[in-house]
Amino acid sequence: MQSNNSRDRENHSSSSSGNHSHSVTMSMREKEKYIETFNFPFCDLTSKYEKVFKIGQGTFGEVFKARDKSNPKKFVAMKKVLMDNEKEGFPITALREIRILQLLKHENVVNLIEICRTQASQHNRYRSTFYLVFDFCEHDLAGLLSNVLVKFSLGEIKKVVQQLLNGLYYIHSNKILHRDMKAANVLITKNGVLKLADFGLARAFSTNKSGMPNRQVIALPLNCRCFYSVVSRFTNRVVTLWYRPPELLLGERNYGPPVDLWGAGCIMAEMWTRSPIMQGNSEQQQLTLISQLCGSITPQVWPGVENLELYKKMELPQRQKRKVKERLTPYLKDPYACDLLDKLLVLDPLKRADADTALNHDFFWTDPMPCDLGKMLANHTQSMFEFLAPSRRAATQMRHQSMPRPTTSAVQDSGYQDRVF
Amino acid sequence: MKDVIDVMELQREKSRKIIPVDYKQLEFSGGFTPARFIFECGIKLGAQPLTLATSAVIMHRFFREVDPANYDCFLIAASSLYLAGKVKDDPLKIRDIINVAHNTLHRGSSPLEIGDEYWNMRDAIVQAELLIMRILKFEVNTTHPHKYMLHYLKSMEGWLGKEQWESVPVAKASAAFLQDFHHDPSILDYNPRHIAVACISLALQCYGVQLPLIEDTDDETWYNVFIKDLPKDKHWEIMEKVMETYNREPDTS
Repeated sequence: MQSNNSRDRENHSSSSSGNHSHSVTMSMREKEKYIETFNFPFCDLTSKYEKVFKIGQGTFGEVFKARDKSNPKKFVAMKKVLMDNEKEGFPITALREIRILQLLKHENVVNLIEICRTQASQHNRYRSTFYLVFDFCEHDLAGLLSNVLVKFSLGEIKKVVQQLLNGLYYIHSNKILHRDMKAANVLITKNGVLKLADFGLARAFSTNKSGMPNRQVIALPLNCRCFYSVVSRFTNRVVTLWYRPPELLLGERNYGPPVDLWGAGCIMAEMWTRSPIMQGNSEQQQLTLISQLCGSITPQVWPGVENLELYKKMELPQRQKRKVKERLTPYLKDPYACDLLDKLLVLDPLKRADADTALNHDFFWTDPMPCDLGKMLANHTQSMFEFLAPSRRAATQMRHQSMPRPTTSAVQDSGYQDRVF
Repeated sequence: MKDVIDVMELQREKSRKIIPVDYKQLEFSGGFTPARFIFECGIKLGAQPLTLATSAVIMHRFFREVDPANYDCFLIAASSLYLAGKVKDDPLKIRDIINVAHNTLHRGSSPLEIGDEYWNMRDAIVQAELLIMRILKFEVNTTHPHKYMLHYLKSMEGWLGKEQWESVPVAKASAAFLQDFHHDPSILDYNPRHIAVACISLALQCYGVQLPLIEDTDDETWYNVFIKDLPKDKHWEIMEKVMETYNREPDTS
């Protein structure tokens, strides 16, 4: 194996000591020309799109709104793949996101159109940058909620939550965990269609017979190594702090779909409260806030919690009464809404409602029935993203001066870029 | 097409001892050589079998899209391994891949010093990975025959009965046929379920195992209980392809 046969690369030719006879000899200029003009039939150039402006910061890069040059009415969102560690090649996290997005095709999941590359030229040392290209969505939920002029009727809220749960039902049926539920990752098109977005932390999971996900699975009496799967322990450093469920805060590594449903509950409550309901500034404070809302975390309400890694290390407020309905009724008013939230914000992940159960809740099947958001959104011609919302951004940044950012972090990427949100 | 599979050919005593091949002397051989290189390096690296299968599939798909003469097949093989490790969440360290690949190509040589040659090779692998992904449209998910094979075998365990199941290594042979079939790019041409069945059939024939309660006739075959869409001639075709793979093996005796 020798290096100078891969011609799609910057060449360090002079020192190659390979002894293959079939190496191709080209001058430096010829090589550059070769790279510049190399034709990738399945990977178009980003120049087919024209950037409009920046709309956000994803797990591994910036996101831009862009116009399709061949169809000026069509807009896309372009998410840059950060290649922070060039020596390790394409980031495994980005690859995971791409594979998951290729698998998930659903009305309520953001649609990946293609992956584009920038032209390799001397300006980028003959190395392309990659962009994921998505269908453009006009708003994100955090942006909409931070705008006081946007008012949701009960029917419209039902439609949002229903679509959110529909999306979760779909991804969980496909054995994918989102792991980063929050209002800013819930996109809404101008026609009122909700799309789950940012699968930068998403992962596949497996379920064994007892329904507990992510445990060692297949060990059949077939003496072939072929059929054994690897035990993988997930990191618990996922999900933005304010939306992080108690089991992750207590160090659970064998978690599953309930982590996303906790987030869905937080988002649902936010539809009325208009700001995240539990804004802790540390994992400890987040657990305190959760205990104050959902009651004390004890082995009585949550059998097995005492075995979690951090159960003894964290300070857990005792004798707290569960006040989910009590605290939220002033905002929600609708008793069905309170009841559904009460079933989503459950401490014990095994008792937390799953997406299917939640979708069957009376909340969605009583008057006023879920109704289309398109008409309401038609009153707002301005795109609303959390990233662009001055009030919400400023508020969060002020908070950030005195405390760590409530961002998602994953231990596997050391060169992790904090997001603006 | 032959209507008998010559299982004797498979059983013929091949020299058991595997003599290390000198890869530098081998031709591309329709993808067999880089596949063999992938399996040798991957096993040395302790990669999972599905990682190896993914790697071979990525490599074969790449060479379907390009002119193999333009690329160093061992570079592409090493890069496919690196990429497959990421795809299967079975990460292989690039440093390990370089050392193993280098030592497999230049047997007996000492590991590369950290120097120009090492960095060139590392850069080449990383850049080839990006090249492969673009050529494959970033579609690196594969549906493997393995999961189907597992289920078919699991059902057969009860069908054959514990005693006979334990007396013949049907599962092991089936899995071996499946893994070895990844040396041939024709693995890309067939439905994964069909491949799983054909490998099991071959194993059954090798060991002369008859499944109880089933008469293999023209319109009824053992695998009809699992799949309905595999015509007999296609079944034979895949079995022959699996066997042909063994003929491509360089003569090392």
